[in-house]
Amino acid sequence: MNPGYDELTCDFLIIGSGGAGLMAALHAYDLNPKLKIVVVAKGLVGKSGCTRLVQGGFNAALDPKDSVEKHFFDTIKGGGFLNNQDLAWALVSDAPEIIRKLETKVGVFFDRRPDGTIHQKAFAGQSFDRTVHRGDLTGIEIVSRLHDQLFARNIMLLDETRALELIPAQNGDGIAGALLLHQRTGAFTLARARTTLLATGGGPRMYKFSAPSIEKVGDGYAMAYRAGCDLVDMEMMQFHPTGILAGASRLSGMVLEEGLRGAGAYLLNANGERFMQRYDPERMERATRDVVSRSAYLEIMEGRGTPAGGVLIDASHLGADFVAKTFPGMVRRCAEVGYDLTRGPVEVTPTAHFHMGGVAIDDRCCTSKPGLLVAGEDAGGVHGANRLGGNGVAESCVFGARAGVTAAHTCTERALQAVDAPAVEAALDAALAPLTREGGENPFAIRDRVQTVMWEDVGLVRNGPQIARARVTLDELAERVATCAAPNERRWNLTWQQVLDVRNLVTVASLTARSAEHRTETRGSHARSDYPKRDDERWLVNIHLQEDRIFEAPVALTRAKPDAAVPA
Amino acid sequence: MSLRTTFRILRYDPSTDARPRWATYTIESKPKFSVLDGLFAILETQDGTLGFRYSCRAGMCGSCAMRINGRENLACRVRLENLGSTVTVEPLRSLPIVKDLATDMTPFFEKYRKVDPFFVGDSPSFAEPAPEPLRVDPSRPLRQDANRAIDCISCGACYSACPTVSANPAYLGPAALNRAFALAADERDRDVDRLARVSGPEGAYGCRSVGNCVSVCPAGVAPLAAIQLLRRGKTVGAS
Amino acid sequence: MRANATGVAWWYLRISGLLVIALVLGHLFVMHYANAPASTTSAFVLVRWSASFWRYFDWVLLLLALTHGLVGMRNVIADAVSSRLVRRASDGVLAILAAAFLAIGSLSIVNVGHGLQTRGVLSGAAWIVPTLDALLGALALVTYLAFVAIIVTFVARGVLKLPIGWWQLHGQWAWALHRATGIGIFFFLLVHVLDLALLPLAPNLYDATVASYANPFLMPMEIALVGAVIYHALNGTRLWILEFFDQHTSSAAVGTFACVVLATLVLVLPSIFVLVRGG
Repeated sequence: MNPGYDELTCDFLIIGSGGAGLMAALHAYDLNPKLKIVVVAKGLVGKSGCTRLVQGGFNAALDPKDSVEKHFFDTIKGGGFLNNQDLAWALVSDAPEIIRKLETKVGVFFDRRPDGTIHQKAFAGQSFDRTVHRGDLTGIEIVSRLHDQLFARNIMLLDETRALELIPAQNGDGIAGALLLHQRTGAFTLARARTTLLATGGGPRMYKFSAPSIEKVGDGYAMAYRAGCDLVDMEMMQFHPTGILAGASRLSGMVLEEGLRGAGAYLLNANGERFMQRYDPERMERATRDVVSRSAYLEIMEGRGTPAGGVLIDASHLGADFVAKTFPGMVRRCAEVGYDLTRGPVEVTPTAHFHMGGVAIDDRCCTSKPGLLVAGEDAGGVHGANRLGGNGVAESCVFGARAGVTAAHTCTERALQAVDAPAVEAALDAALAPLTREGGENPFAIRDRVQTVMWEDVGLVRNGPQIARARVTLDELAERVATCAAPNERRWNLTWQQVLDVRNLVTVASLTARSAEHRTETRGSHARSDYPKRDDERWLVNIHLQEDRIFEAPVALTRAKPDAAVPA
Repeated sequence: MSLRTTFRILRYDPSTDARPRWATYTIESKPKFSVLDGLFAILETQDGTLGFRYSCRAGMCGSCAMRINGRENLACRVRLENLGSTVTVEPLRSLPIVKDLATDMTPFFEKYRKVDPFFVGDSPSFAEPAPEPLRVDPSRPLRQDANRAIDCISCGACYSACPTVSANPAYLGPAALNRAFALAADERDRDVDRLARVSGPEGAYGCRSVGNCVSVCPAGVAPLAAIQLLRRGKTVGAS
Repeated sequence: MRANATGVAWWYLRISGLLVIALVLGHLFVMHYANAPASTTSAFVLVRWSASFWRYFDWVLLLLALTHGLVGMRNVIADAVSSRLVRRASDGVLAILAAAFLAIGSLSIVNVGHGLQTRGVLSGAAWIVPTLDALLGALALVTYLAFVAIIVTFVARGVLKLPIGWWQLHGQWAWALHRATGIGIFFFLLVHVLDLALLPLAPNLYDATVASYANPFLMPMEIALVGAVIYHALNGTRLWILEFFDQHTSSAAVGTFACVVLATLVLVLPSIFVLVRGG
């Protein structure tokens, strides 16, 4: 039954082709052009993934009146002081140089002010207007230009290839590479590498309404967890307040960017009230995403939502021409489903958007496993309990660059490891099993069930009994996934891919639920109706999950403490 | 509302089928369903072997470009309520089929590569620190033309719709030439030889000014305009 | 852009096209509107070419139209054939064709300008008339068959509910018609140069030829010729505007194509009256 696999040997294996993966490839290559670098993407390289979906922009302290310190404090405050302060500091201090690199080396064209300098716009939760952007479609420009740079370098690109498992070294010294599946042909490849970078992006798609691309199911988190890595802050799932509601279409959940609220748009309930007055009268719609999402959610739960179960965002008072000129992409997307963003309200719902949690790393992107780096959304700790808008693509690019620099060194220091052969065989068997099962469950139905369970029981507002119930259901679903079947055809078999997807989805959902159950307070994106207050005395800790153990570690308040004021 | 839509899909698996064949499915067309939603409904409930490509489902990645009722577009952006009760779906033209509606984008990207589509700055290496970004006047007409050109999401719709691409295997095609223009018009770019590389019969002068590319582009790019600006030498820098 | 063969050819097509429009529309007006085609006998031509203005006019028209057609045919071949060898070879053939027909045409104009003889070198070659008829007849047959084939294809697609693909885009039609009319006019031009060459070589056969063109099988082609020239000229103008003035080449350009088609149909009408009434 075992079809076997071919072997690919390289220096630097990069799993994921978003901002993190591509920045890592470019940096590693330029530091050492002799390195054999392989970039693996689940979709088409440079087109799939979520960096492309970034609309708003990239935060960087460029203006002389701004400062890295201010950006740092905004990030820490927004993160509920749960951030890993070294990582947050790395993010804000590298961001300006990364913006310069994107402009002058990658060729990204950021919007300009009339005087020709780079324009920075207002975004929620920040003390300064520091969000660099290209129109309202920043991500497309960043990823497309990064992708173009690949053509100037000798880097191997594997499209429509997914990583199934990280393969440990035979002698137990970290990670030796990964087992890959080429989705077009159904062939397997064992990729051996001196350094492997996990940059696959997050798992918000375990929720009924979510923003990311359809192929994102937390593959990175699941593989890392199965490989024995330490995952941190998994309960911290950011819900973006304004995901479009588009009937029964999959488009629902796609984000209408924060810049709308930054520019002054209103959020209204079904009665036409600006309900943020009741939740955050000082910042209103420009409060951080966690606050706004929860407020919208509560309005809906208390019966003041629209018949379709959402709230309304209204930018019409800003002027039709202004809206059309500033947010052309959004206007078009709304128009396609029957809304006129320039002249009237658009129905929106909170939507799962970004996973703050992930694999624990240091500021060089190293994990507890030698030979394994993680960067981008797959990594945890940078954003703490809530991410600021504009800090996400910044994280991908900053840490992708750092991972590339690290890899350029580790690839010369670390030897190619022999693989743990039984692990490879086990991964292969697990991947092939659904093809030969008879009459198994429909994996799409299981996916739907996961999404509903998570939305209802581990969603924007949680409580102990509900999460416990969800965990039981998720355990059942994990068993049911093991019985899923797909047509016995390895070439371009979307059903088979869905079985592999939903297996990882359930794993990540279970980790999220477990961590959510553990934290008995409300902080940032994690809200407990049974523990509605933030408790710094007890809960200034990060929750870690590793190999079935759950443990806490206090946040190292190396640069800022919760009672520190924002510097002038 | 309980409307039903019939999909006629061109199915083809090169490893098992002698030639493409039509397959028909009927689904319940739910509110605001796109063609992509329809394809998923078929995949998830009727035929688990259906092959198509997808990613963002929001018109930004270009992965789901295909011909819908004969016309190139992104499947995620075409709403069933705007089509009739029967929808015909085929893969893009001029590209080899991998499976059903998914085509092999390799020839497309090979041509894209031929125009050296990467920006060349003053300090291209990532091993060096970055210089200060250039001040760029956003109101200059050429900058605005370049801005339109950089909206391209490389979906392949224009490539499929171009009869010159279809007839002439060497012709670089609208997307590649549009990219060449975007860089040639970029005052920050330091590669001055770009025009020369796209001025042969397989380049800008191979375009017959048909304009299908402009008609079908889902991102509002006008490759024909970019090609014309190349032909008239309307770029920055000497060439 | 740097000068190279393709770039030069591209510019020449546009410049020659612009220059020839006034000349060809003027010529068309004289031959199909102010006069019926059947009345353009040898006497008519003699009167016309005794004026040096018309001799120069027609000679420049010939030069521009032949070379414009040559470069256009070059494009058609380049799109159909990938082999560089075949392309080079066809370039040679086209160049020889153009040189030859320019020479023949020039000879006709120069000789007739000196006055008409009653008999010429080829006056005994009675096979010439049916040969010229056959050439035009072949062109007519191909055109009619193509027309029928296109109609049948579209009807069949409609009945079988198959999509019409890129034929739903106006640019596709504009381009296809521009090509078809260009090729048709080019071949007609070659036959036309040949039949005019009868004037110095076999003047008695010339009038017989003109009379034979007025047969019912070829009549629709007269109309088609007028339509083709008008369409090609108007669409050429549209392309000039699209390429040189409408830098934002939006798909609103569909309106310009509709205008071209409408204008062509309207302008052709009077020539039909003239054709049916006269001769």
